[in-house]
Amino acid sequence: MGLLRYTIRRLLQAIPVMFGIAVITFILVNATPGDPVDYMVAEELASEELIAAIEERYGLDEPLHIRFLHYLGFSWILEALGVPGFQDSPTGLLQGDLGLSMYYDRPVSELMWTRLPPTLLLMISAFAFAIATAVPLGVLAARRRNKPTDHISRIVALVGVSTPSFWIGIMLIIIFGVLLGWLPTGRLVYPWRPPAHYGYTGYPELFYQTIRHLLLPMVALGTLQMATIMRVERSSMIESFQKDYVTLARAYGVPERTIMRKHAFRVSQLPVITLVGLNLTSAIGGAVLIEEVFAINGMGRLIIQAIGTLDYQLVLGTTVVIGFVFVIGVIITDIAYAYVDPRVSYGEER
Amino acid sequence: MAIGESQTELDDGPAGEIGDDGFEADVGWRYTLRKIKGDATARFGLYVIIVVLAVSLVTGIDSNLERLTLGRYEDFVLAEAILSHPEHLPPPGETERRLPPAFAEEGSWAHPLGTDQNGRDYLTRLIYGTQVSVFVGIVATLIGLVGGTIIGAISGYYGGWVDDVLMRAVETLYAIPPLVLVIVFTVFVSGNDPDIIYAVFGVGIAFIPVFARLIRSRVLSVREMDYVEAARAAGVKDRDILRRHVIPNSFAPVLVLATLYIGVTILIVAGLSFLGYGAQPPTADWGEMLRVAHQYMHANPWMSIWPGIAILVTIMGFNLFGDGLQDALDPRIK
Repeated sequence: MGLLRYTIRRLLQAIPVMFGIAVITFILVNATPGDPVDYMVAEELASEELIAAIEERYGLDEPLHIRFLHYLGFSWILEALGVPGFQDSPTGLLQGDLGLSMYYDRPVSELMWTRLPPTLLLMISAFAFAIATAVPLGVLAARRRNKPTDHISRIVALVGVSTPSFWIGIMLIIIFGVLLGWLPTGRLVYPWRPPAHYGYTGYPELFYQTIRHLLLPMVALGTLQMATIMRVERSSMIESFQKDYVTLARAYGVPERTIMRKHAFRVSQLPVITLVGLNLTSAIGGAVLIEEVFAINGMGRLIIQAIGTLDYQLVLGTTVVIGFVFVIGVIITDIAYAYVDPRVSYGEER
Repeated sequence: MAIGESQTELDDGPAGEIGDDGFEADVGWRYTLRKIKGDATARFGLYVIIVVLAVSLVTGIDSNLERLTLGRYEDFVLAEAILSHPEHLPPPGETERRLPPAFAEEGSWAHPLGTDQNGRDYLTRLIYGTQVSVFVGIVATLIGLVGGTIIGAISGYYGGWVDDVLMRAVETLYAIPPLVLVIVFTVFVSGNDPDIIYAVFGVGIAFIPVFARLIRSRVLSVREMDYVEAARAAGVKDRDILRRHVIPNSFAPVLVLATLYIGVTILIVAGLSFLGYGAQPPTADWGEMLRVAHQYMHANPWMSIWPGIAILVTIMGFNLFGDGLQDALDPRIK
């Protein structure tokens, strides 16, 4: 089986999982006792007509299973079955329509498109930071096993996995923002906006400021990832240094650097790739917290705001999309894995 | 988080050899304990856990006095204090709010770590926070462990469509970031009245997949064992085979994961409380204390330091011990 067929098969396997994500989230959001409308309208203002009008606008007057089919975008099935209603907005999840936010009164997808880039910027830079520091440190620790370098790197990794990211964020703000005053303590500067938006003179200053603003949240979010990657990198490198072909290469007098580059390093990256994929969920959870600490208006804050205002459609949409992003992320890492390791058979995984 | 690592390692194999024939001399609780005794870092982790557990049992330190004189978080508490114990109240206007710790300028040894925004003693609250964290860590992990063991064992033992359905369900649950899943669970199931108990159940449920996947992978090999075959031939009921043979023999790596996950749970619930969806004031909880401290970051940075250190030390204890346990149970290492 080729890489393409493998990719297609993995994508097909993801469909039931994605469907399941929609089901779970839908059930959870609807588990709330009472009606979302109750939270929306102040009690004094609540009249029967008003509630009925709101329910009709957001499709809340229908029974749960019909709402779910509608949410998924199967309105045409309902129509074919002769179930009335929903003529005004016939699209759903399948068509990329996530419904209308009750709080903002704007389409959920539009809100998400404006909030996604900051989160992506934060997460990509955090992972870049984590990989750029963890891989060399892990290799170094493996090569100097049980020497001081190794012990230090193990302590760093241990502290890294044991520390709440939001606390690291707060500490970084206090040290570098409040006490030393070196770096800004909140919000991001987005490199895709024109420099004039922030009153900067040109792109060099814009990029400089972007990095300055990104530094603290990046480290706060990336530390946990760095620690987990470093641990795996270290044990993975130690394992491949002990492989027979490495011993053989050494016996042949192949220089240590060549062994590193050609024999040990590449194979050792496989567990790391898997780990990055699996860590996406913890990174998203971390991003929610870090965005809150640094007042970054990304997806994480959007979810928290949505939950705070009980914006039922928005909670549903954001959670479902994040679940989808994770599933796709895992598929991408699986494919990357297959690409890096020629030994992976595409036939049976798991 | 140690999740990723322990998963990759435990899922596909290293621990898989445990209990297989030929390793009999190297397994069993006595051997494991001996190995941990020889492992200095694991021992250190164990001591940390013991200290944390001991601190969590501490009750009654000055709590009444603290609540009455300094607990100005709710007016009715103050009113109650004025009515019943006026002698405990500080003179008007002299509540010592946001006091720095004793070793800083303006600090006093009456409050070694200072006071919070309501003038409550920070050390006392930190000690009470241990109870919440220990409770949360153990109960939530137990929920995940029990739920995951049942689902994983059934899934692995029966195989076929049962396995397919259960595993797809578990994967689905796994795909939603725990923090988000738990907040949604907490808020919507409680009817917008979040409380720590919802958070505990939510985290427990969110971690079922992790345990289910691990135990399933173990059960897959255990169910092929001769003794399981023998039990089946002897006509033992499936439920009894699962309970008496399959689950006990698949359990060791699960226990390791559970130890590591107590730390992860504490971390996640601290995050929940930090966002305001875990423990609710006036409960003394480390995450909730950090939530408040974040608001006073500029005025009193001290407040942010202590709960974080408490979380760090506790989780580090569980991580060290869990790592040691994992090494001891893994016959491949040394």
